[in-house]
Amino acid sequence: MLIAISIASFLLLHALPGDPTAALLGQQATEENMAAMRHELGLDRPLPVQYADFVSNAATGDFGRSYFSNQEVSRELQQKIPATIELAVAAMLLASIMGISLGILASVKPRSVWDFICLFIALTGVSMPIFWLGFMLQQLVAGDLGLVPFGGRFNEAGWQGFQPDTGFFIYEAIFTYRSPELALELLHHLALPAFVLATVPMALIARMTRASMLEVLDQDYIRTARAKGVAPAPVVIRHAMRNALIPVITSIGTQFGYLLGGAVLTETIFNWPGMGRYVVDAVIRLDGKPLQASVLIIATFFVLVNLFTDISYSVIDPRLRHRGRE
Amino acid sequence: MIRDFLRFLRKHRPAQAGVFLILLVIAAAVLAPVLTEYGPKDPVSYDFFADPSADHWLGLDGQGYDLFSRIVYGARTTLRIALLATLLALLLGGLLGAVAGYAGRWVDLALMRVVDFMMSFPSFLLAVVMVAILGKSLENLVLAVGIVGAPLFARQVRAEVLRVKALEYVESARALGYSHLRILLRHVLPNCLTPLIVLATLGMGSAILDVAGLAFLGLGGDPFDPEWGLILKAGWNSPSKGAFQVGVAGACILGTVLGFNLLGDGLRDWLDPRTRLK
Repeated sequence: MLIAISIASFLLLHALPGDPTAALLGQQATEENMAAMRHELGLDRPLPVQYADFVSNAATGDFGRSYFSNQEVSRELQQKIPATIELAVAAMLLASIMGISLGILASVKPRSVWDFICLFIALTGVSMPIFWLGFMLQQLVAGDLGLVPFGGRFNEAGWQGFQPDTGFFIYEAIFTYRSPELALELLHHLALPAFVLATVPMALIARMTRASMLEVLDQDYIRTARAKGVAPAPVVIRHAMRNALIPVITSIGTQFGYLLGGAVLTETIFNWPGMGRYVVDAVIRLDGKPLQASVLIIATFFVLVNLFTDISYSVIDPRLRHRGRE
Repeated sequence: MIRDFLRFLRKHRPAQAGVFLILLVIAAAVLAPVLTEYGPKDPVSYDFFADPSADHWLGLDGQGYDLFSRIVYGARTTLRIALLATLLALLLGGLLGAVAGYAGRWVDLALMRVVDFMMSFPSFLLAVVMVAILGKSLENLVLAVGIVGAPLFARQVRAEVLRVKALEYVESARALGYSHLRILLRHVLPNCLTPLIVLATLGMGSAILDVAGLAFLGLGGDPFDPEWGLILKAGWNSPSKGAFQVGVAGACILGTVLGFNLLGDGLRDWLDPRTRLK
């Protein structure tokens, strides 16, 4: 699988329209110059040789330079990837907490007001163009109410001393700079984008939790527990939730993939300097190397997440451990 | 079958709402020239972002066009694009899935590898990358969104074909010496279609969202085309004045997608014998 991904991302560079050498040389793009450039970049060698080069370079973290900014792609990614991870993790936490609570509330009393609210949120959540939601919330919460900033990761003018080594700003603020104010400032900026990005997974999680809880609450062992006189709350929390959340938790893994797609739009709205925006910029500029590297990294990450999810099934659900493969 | 569905619809409130929303959008798309006297690309005046008035129900947009007619004609563009993309996904995915499921063995293995491979990447990002390769235009959006949507259909069709292939009547068709193509097309596939209705309805919703998202990112081609994602983006480009335009276009997208999702869920309930009994 990983090999296929590496081949695909390698070929991507050649599938892009336009000749990078022409773009690089601009006005001086004569046939001769272009051929020389192609030789210099190694683009005139046979594809398998280029591919071998690409893989061995990628393995050491060398993805070449961006045609656009002339920066090393790996250096740029070092800043972009943590930004997106921070956003995605925050969004996933929000989505899980809100989604699971909503789903449980709805399942405990089916056909109640809570149930209706849960179903409504679940439906609009998946139907929502999140770039629209992002814009509207931005106008309302950041604009009219002035509660949070419009975008960006932190106020650069106010925190000029903040020059973290890694891109994980919140981690750096807490552990390297030990500044609660700075951490708050970062969280302040993170809140709205994370909430917007959380909409779709939250809706899916709420829906799944509700369905799964309803199924479990209907089972005999719950009735037994109730008959034995266990109070309603422990029945739900200790008996039902444990089993009902197994499929939910494992689905959270696969939703990370969705988050990466949604992150493109959220990052654009909130001017968040992350991976998603980086890919789109590379696409718009037809900048091959950054695109190639991003695709390779995202796909690899996605495959690993899926693998991890599969493994987590057996960790979370002890019944599967003994059954072996399906 | 249609009468059966109508009877079901009478009881199923969410599906009713879905059908209503979809009919509303279709009506807007079909009746566009009747509903408005302005064409989607007729500049009305230089009074950009003018407030709504009796003449221009939703005011003017950032390019001096009548926003209402842009939205109404936008319904045409959006529905057409989403429909084409979903059809493409259905055909492509259906073909892949049917061949894989029917042929089995190494063909199945190879084709499903391709499907797995495509699914190993977030679909929206995959569409972004495809547009990069194909070039920016509304036509290529259809291609990208359609291709990206295909693996889902492929899986479903394959599962169905595997189920139907094992039935006895298929065996008897084979015993009669019919060709594989004939068995697949005339005997197996027609019995695999029902679950696809649900998938295609839900697919319309996500296709609209994906197309609007791509257009919003600036991958939609001609910004003067009346398409909701492009209208939204045009408003977003001047946030102080364009908020209303963004609001209207986004609400249209939300409403239409909601409609398809409601109907899709309703159809699923209708086709699922377990929920039907309740």
